[in-house]
Amino acid sequence: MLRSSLTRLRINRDASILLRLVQRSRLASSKTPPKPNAFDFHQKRTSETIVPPASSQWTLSSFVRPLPDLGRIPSNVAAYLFCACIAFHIFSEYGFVLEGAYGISMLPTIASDGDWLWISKYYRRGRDLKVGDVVSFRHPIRPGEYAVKRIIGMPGDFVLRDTPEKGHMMMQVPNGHCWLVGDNLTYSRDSRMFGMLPLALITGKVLGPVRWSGWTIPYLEKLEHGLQPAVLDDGDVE
Amino acid sequence: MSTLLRQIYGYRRGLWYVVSGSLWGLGAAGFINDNFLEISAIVGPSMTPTLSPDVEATGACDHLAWNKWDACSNVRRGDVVLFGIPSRPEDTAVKRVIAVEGETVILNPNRRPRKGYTKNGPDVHESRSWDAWEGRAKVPPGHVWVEGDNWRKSKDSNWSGPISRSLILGKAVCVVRPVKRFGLRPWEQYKSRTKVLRAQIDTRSDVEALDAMGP
Repeated sequence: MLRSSLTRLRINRDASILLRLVQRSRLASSKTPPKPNAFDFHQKRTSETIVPPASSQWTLSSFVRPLPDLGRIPSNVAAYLFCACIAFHIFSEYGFVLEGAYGISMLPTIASDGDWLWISKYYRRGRDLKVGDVVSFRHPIRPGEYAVKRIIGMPGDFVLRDTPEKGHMMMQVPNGHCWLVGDNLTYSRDSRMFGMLPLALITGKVLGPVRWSGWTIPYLEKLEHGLQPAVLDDGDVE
Repeated sequence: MSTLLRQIYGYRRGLWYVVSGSLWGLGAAGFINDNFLEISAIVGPSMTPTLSPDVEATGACDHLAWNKWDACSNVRRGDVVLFGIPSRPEDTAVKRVIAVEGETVILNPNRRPRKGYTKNGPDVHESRSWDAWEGRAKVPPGHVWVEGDNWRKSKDSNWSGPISRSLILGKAVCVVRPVKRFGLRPWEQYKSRTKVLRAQIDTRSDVEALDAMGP
């Protein structure tokens, strides 16, 4: 579409040069002006085309192509829309995506009334994840739903099966799985309910909520892993 | 050399269209592959002789077309599914769904995990967890029980337990290669011998019971 209109413009440009040469030779040979014919109409229309500069030097402006014909808008818009869809899919599947999250299980890290989370898809299926990362995953019990929790144990780690006050049984996380717990322990349904989560269900790592207030530019509030170095309290040692 | 460069420069517009067109075509193929249709080969012997019957003898595998749209809904007994393996997140496997949530599988003693896939081989680590089911495995809510058609050479739910239905990536549509089996669905003729007890209790209440469980 684009190419044929440009070719037509080039043919028109060549035709107009040829026409001017023919007319000049006719003027030279005869006294009367040439009879107007169908080509004159074309000559008027092509006065805006690119004419190469007199010298053989091409400048940057000679690479700028004119916009295509106005009659071609629908198919160009369709092509651009198609490319935009493909680009958006690739970016959101393999790059980053913004998702809304509702729920109280990750308070105070993530707000309950609809925070927008910036999720990196590089970490999907558990690649390069560490203890303390907040991840989004496909829910193992309710297929089709997604959830956001924090990783407490990666393969090989020993984790507490229940809430600390309610039990003391520990389990080792097997290969390919992880143990997730929400930040709001009292109101979170996580691995304490549904058990080990296969890493294949993880869709990405939550880098943080995007926050704004009023008309400020939205900014990313980076989430910390929350681990603190163990401190040996001398008061416990007798 | 400079004439060659000048020729390439002369064809730059055509080159640009070819390069950018093929890149967008690749992107479109990736879009279709991720969301709608994937074609992949079955390289293991766990579904013989239904699928890839000659893979151990000659290495020729069947290529299947997978429907990836909404794959974890409407999973029925008898479907052949492509799913992510729980123990190896970067790999996928192909097995048949034997039971869905709420149903009870009567475990087949031939499929007890043993070392080297032999009938009387020594036990492995997974044999003890298979014994712990005591012959009947109830499939929890949101999970499915999968088994390979070849009971001798299949690592399936008998080894790793029921898998979450969210792990399912695609349902089989038809065979694509070899060309003489194109369009066939050879897995529909096979009837699995594993017995399954239908769900007697409404599975909805299992999920609600799980929700009501506090931390």
